[in-house]
Order: sequence, then C-alpha cells, then structure tokens
Amino acid sequence: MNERAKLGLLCVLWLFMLMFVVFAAANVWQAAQDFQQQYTGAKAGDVKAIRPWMTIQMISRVYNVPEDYLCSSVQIKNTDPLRHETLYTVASRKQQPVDRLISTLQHAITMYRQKQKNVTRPMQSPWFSSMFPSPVPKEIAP
Amino acid sequence: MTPFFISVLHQYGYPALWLIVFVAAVGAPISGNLLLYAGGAFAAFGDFNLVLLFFVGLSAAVLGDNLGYALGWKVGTPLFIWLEQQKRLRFISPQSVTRGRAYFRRRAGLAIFLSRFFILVLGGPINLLAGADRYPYRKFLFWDISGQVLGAILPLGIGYIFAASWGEASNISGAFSTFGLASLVATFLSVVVLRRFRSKRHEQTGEVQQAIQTETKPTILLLISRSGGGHLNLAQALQERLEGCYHVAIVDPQSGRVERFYTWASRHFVGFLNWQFTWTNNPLMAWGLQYYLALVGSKRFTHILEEIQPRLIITTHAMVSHAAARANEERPERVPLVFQLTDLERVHLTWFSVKDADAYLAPTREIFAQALRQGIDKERLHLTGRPIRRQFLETGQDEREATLTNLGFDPTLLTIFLQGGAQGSAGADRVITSIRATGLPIQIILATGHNSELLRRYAGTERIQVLPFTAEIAPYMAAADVIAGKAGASSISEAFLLEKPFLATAILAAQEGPGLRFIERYNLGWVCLEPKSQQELFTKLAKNPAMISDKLQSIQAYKAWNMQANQEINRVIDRLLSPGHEETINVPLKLVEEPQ
Repeated sequence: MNERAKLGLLCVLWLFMLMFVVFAAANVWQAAQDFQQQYTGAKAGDVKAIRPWMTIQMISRVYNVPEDYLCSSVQIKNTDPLRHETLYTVASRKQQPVDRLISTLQHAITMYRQKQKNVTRPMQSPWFSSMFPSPVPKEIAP
Repeated sequence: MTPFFISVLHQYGYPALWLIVFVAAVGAPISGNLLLYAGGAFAAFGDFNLVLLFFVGLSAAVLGDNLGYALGWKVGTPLFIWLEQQKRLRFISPQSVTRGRAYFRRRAGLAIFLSRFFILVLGGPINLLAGADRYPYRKFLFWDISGQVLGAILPLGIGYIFAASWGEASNISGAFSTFGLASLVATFLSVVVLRRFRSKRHEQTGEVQQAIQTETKPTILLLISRSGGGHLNLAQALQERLEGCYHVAIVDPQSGRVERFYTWASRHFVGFLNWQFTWTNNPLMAWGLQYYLALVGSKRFTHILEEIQPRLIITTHAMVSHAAARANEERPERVPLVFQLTDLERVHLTWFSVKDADAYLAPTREIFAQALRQGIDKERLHLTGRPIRRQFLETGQDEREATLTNLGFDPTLLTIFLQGGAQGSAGADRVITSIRATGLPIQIILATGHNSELLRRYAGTERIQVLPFTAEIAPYMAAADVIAGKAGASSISEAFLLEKPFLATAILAAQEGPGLRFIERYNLGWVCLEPKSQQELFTKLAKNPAMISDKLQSIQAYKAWNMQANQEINRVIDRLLSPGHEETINVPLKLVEEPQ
C-alpha cells in the first residue's frame, strides 16, 4: 500500500474515531440523565424504580411496605427461602418473566399505598432508613 | 448475563464474588466490576459487609492480574521473540515490534494503574503484555495494587451510596470509561495523522534531507531548541569545533511554535518565564516536565534519528535532552549521547533528569560541581569550558577603529555595545535612558536582532547605531569598549573572549540571576540592574577609562583558562566515537588549571 493510501486510511479512521468520541460523550450524557431519573424516582418512592436485582426484603425497605405483604402478593410463603432471593431468581424459579413479577409487585405497592391512604414518605437511602426506621403496619392483607 | 451473576453473588456470597472477580481479572469477558457495584448496594441493604467485600474484591483482582502477568511471561515472551525474528508477516516488522515494546515499557506503570479502575477493558491485555515484555514484577505489583485499591473502593462506594440506583451509576462510569478510551485513541490518531502530514511536508521541503550528507565522516547530531539565541550559538560553536573531523547536523526537533512562544513571552511576560523556571527547578517537577516532553515528542525525535542516523548525539538544551535520551534508547543500536551543559553558575535541574548520558560537558567549574552534587558519575563528567564561535576568536582589536568609523562613530569616545534582545528581555530602553541621563557623549551600538519594533524606535537616533540581526556580530562587539545586556551565558562568554568587560543590565531572574555571581567572582565586568546604578557607572566609565583596563587582566586569565579547557571537547568526542569507547572514556579527568 503506498503512502498516500495509508494516509487516507488513517484520516478515515481518525474521522471515525472523532465521531465515536462524540457518540461516547452523548452516551455519558444519556447515562447521567438516566441515573438522575432513577435516583430521583427511587428517592420519591416511585415503583418504576424496582429492578430485577432487588430482593423482596430490599423492596420492602425501599418502599416502606411490609415484607410479608409483598411475599403474599407474589405467592411466596413466609418460610420459603425464595423471599431472600433476587427477583430475577424468583422469576426463573416461578418460570415467569421477571417483568411480570416486577409489575405484580408495583401493583401491590400501589394498592398498599391506597389502602393506607397515607402520603408516601419520601424514601431515604437504605443506610439512612436503617438508622432511623419508621413503624410499618405488619398485618395488612393484599 | 448480568442479572444471573448478580443472583449468583446474592445466593453464594463472598466466594462467588471472589471467583467472578478473579476470572474477570485474568481476562475473561465478564465484568467483575459490575459485581462490586452490586456488592456495594447489597451491603447498603445489610446483606454484605462492605469492608469484607473490599478485601475479597481486592485480593481476587490482584491475584487474577498476577495470573494474567504470569501467563504473559510464559506464553507472550516466546511470541515476542518470534515476532521480532520472523519475516513472514510483512505487516508486522521486527522494528515495529521492538518500538512497540519500548513504547509500552515507558508507559507501562500508568497503563497498569489506569486500566484497574478507569479503562477496565484493557486490564486483561495489559497484564499479558506486561508479563510478555518482562516488565519488572515489583513495579507491576505496585501499580496493580495501587490501581486495584481504587478499582475496589470506587464501585463499592458508589454502589453503597446510591444503593437503589447502582445500576444507572455504573452505567455512567462505564460510559465514561468508553469515552476515555475513545478520546485516548482519537488523540493518538490525531498525533499520528499530524506527524504524517508534517513529515510529508518536511520531505517536500527537504528540511531533514539537507541535514544528511553522504559524506564518509561520522555524523554528529546536535539537538537544539531555539528558545533563546544562546543555545543555537553554543551548537554552532560546537559545530565549528568538530566539523574538521565529523559531519555535524544541527536540528531543532521542536515545533516552530515553541520559538515563537518563547520570543513573545520573553518580551511581554518575563514574570511567567521566571515562574515556570522556578516552579520546575526541583527534581520531581523537572522529571515530570521532561517525562511529558518526551511523551509528546518521542515520535519526532525517533523520526529525526532515523533520518540522520547519527553516530553521536549532543544536546545543547535541557528541554530536548530527556526526549533525545529516550529516543536513543529505543533505537536498535544506541549511540553515545552527550549533554552540553549551558549556563555558567547553575543549570536547571531538567538537565539532570537523565543521569546516564555518556558524557556531560561542563562549561565551568561551578557547573561541574553542581553536576557532581546531582549524582552525575565523575567518570562521565568533563570540564570543557564554554565553546565559543570562531568569529569571536578571530576578531582582533585592530579592526576597532575602522568598524567605528564605518558606523559613523568617533573612536575616541566611550562606545557601548548593547544587546537589544532579539529574544529575551534585555531592557534596552532603560539602559539607553540611563546613558542619555549622564549627559555625556557615549555611543551605542544597539543590536536589535529580529526585534523590528526596537529597530524602528532607535533608527536615525543620534549616537545610536542600530544593528539588525547579523550572523557576524563579533566585529561590532569587538569595536565597543563595554558589552552590555542581559546576563545570558552566551553574552558573558562572548564578551570575555573578545576581552571586553560585560555589564549586566537585565536578567531573567531565576535563570540568569546566578550568572551575576559568576561575573563578580571572576571580575569579568559589572552588575547594574537599576537605572540609577547604570547611570553612575556610565558616568564613571566615560570619565575614567582606566576602569575598563583594570578588568582586562582577570578577563584575559579567564579567557586563557576557557580556551585551554575547550581542548578537552574534541578528546571526549573522539574517544566516544572510537571503537570500544566504553573502556577508554573512563580515563581519569585531567583538570584544567583554575583561572586566576
């Protein structure tokens, strides 16, 4: 390959990389916005912030909903070790899509809030909540 | 894949984390880092202990990296040896492999460190490369652990703080890492493209080719920087001294912008030059600056060395010395490297960031002593005096009257040669004001160099003859009674060679301040930085010419010593270029008698 062709190829590669840099920068921006959205949602107790990696116990703490209530909403017994697993594991054991499981939980939390007729307390970060726990009614049927 | 690993982590705890992070660190295409984010988030919900997670993550990552390093050591080294010897793969030349290895060696520490927590995707390949290149294990371990500490703390901390949003937080850091990698590659490609264009242009103008001659004499490459005229003068002096036996090529490897910036800064921002000189005049900053310059200029230096194919390299500027040493190390056949130290009383510490050049030429005993203090091996150090251009040795006093008459001056009156400062700030206006303030008939030869503004300002002024840039400046200096100007090493040396007292009227405080002590110690002239003291001195000199002749004895003594010391230059170069110079160069130094 002659020098001219090499230089041309190099220039094309360079332009391509510049475009990729712009694309990567846009990606950083998008990721930052997603984070802001998710973080604000989680803080405000938005049920859309539930993720497949969460366990029922975590969801209970994040959304101030009794753990037993959530377990019964997805038909898990109190003694079932599944209640300590991630939603992803629970869904695969129950052989159903994880999105459906999440949607069931979202619905249960919304129902619980309506029954409580209380304004949802804005969620604090978990370590804050663990230091200053709030009393949660335990015996409410879904 | 990710939810599966997270579920495994949650189900099996620390052992699962350790195993996944370990496998990821060896180089498997899975993200151990993501699990650390998740681990941090789980710790926030009380499922894990954060401190334990840190140690588990750190130990797994470090051990995985070490396994990668060991694999590279075992498998990669023979591969490199094969690549360097093979002729079948035409697109991978043995030279490019050697260059690539040298390139990696110089940046390996930083690369290992950054790939632990910033550009994670390169972690595995870098471990293999470090092992294959036999990068020192202790250094590898140091950079690896340093990086992995951050590599564990950052994701664990972020996961812990943003618990419910750790996934999105990790996406930001992932996107940022991609952006960093893309920027690095784009910067690298920009440099390559620019250099290609530049070298193409150089080829067209034949700039480098002009430096090459097909003579049978060995070629000596003199590397200079045009930041300040003194360094070029020094290189020209060396060229004149060596060109009888060698072909000498003078090349400024730096961009023309460096020269333009220096000229501009020295005229308008002397304070900035002083500040940067002082700020970098310590071992750490000096090394950092040199490292950076070598990093930026390595390709350019390598290109010059490849084009000129010198048998020996001499540098006359600290800013090119380190990069020249590194480029020389990268060559298949290293050639002797000589540092011509520049100043008279004290040099900048950037000169000593490389301590293993083959020879250091010290222009004065003061610089010789400083180099010793900075840890330069005495066997490599040579007291050679300040090399001076031939014109300063050949110009005689007998031409004085003719030169002054040609300038329209009266030879019986006191004449001052004033360095106007083509580059650098000689403070010419202030000195001229001081001379005029005496009210005495003093004549001024004002060398304005390339400073056209100064030239226009004083052209046609009574008792001032303006001298634009001329290569043959010595006759004009010799025609004067006193040489005045900025206390640069070059000006002081040229003055004593012409047996003229030097009057220091300005300095770049940090760089040239010590030179004032030198003038006073050897009684080579006067130091008057303030207008008032300048005015007083000019009055005394005009009224009492004996003050000038009083200096003559000490000036002549120093000149004699310097010229005797200069003889050593050729001996050193000859020995370095003789076969088996390693044995002969270490002859004990013959010290030249100290000037009176």
